[in-house]
Amino acid sequence: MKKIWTKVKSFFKETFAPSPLVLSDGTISVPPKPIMPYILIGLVVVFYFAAQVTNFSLWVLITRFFNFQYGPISYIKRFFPVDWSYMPKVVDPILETIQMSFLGSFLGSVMALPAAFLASNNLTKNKFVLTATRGVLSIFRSLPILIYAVFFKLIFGLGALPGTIAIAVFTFGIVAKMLFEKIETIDLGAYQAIQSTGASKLRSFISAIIPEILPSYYSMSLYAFEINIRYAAILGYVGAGGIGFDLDNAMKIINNNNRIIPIVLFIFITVVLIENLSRFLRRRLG
Amino acid sequence: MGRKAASINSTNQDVLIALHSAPKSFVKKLLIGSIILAMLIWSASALNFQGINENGLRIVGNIIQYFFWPDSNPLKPTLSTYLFTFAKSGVPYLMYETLMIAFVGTLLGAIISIPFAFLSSRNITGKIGSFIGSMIITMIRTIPIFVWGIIFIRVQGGAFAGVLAIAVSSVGMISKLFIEAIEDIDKGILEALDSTGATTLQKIRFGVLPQLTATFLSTTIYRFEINVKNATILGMVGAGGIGFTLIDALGSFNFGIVAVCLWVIIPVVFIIEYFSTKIRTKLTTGE
Repeated sequence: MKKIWTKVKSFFKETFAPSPLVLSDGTISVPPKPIMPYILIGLVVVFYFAAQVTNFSLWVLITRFFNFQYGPISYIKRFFPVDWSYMPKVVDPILETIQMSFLGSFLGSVMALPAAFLASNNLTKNKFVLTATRGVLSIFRSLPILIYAVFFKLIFGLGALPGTIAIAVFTFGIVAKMLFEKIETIDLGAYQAIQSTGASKLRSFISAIIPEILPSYYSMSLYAFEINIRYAAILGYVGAGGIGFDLDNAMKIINNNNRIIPIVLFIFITVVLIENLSRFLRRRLG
Repeated sequence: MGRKAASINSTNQDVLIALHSAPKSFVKKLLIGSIILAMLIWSASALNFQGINENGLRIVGNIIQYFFWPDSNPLKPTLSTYLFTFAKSGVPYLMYETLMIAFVGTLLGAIISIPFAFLSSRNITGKIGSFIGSMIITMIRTIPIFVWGIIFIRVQGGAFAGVLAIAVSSVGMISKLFIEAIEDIDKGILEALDSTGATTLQKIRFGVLPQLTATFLSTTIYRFEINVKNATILGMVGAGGIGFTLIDALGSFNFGIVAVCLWVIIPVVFIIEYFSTKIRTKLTTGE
């Protein structure tokens, strides 16, 4: 019993504060103090409280999961038999989703270029402009697209327009952020050289910075388009256009549950196609 | 004077030569430009712009007014009932619940992802395993988070459903990045350990884990950042968090409550993003 106790004690001591190693030539090497055990303990403690707040319980999960009458399986069972005749009706909303996503990404990326200019600390020396632009950008990034969609739906009414604007706003936030981070890493030699010939800041930005960031800029815009497709697919939930509306209908109305699989399958195919196309193009951009 | 002019002239010559020998990409640019233009025209046809009506303008005005002062309507004391309270219907508690949903969900997602990622890495299960794995991952990533939410409400409504939805929807991205880390493992270290006579457990402890921990941690932290945002909208389908209050208030034109929610969500997300970026740079560049 005592032996086990010493073993356990030494195990804990070695985990939290490993004893120095004496090498054959007599040098003493102290292993670095590990941080992983502390992180793990912290995670377990937070998890305990978080599980209480969120009512998380493995027992409920297991019992309910295997409750075939009311559990999640019962819901998934209603997806079958699949209503394949619904397939053709999905095409139009899917195309609308792509349209919204493309236009939104395009508008957002175009607006992102001047914002990135104002938000990069090596081009803009005015502290106020810098902080204000970055503040606006982080506000745009910190809210989910869906909330913008609800906002713009109140203003513009139902349809693809509020969704497109919501996507544009979000794209603006992320592309501008990636872009100003990119601008901050580039060499300003050419920019300063052009400025020294008497060109204005804007002129030198166009001639020196833009050609350098253009490939990354295209790549970022494509990336935004790629992720926006997936976001656009849920905007219909709040009436902002796209496939989400049909999906919402299919999920909420019991008689339409058999349409879920065709819709999700269509979203899947679209996402895979666009992701691969965008990745192919981005690889070519270098 | 004459020599200077000559040298300028020769520089001009050089510039002209360089200009003429530059690769001709005009046709390519024109082609790409016209494709994009065509796509734009096609996309714009989806929009049905009927102009902003008076109603819309009034709503914008209201939103702005309430955003800066949620208590604009004296009949509805929003700040005291929603912001300065720790009641379960108050915004601070809801945000706390949202964060906890994101935390538990991300942790569970990461735990599920570890075996899944090992099983679908090319250097462990070969081509077939990795293909099946990547298919499942894309499938999980495609299914919108609401669908998971609605499915898991059948387990238990409220925050628990949110946790499960976040966990499952995180598995896609987390294991995708985990797989990349696993496929990048430096085999030399394992061979070196082999030569010292290390056992399999020791090889995992000293050869595999140190190579993966940093990536795994930073991926999980990054996903947590995304999940906090996802958790703020999950309430829409009844899966807990601040989302229900927010969307409901938006739908019923209660802009005071909306403003309070945004006042809480924006700084919290911002702070999380800030620390997440800090920690992740520290992890990737070394302590």
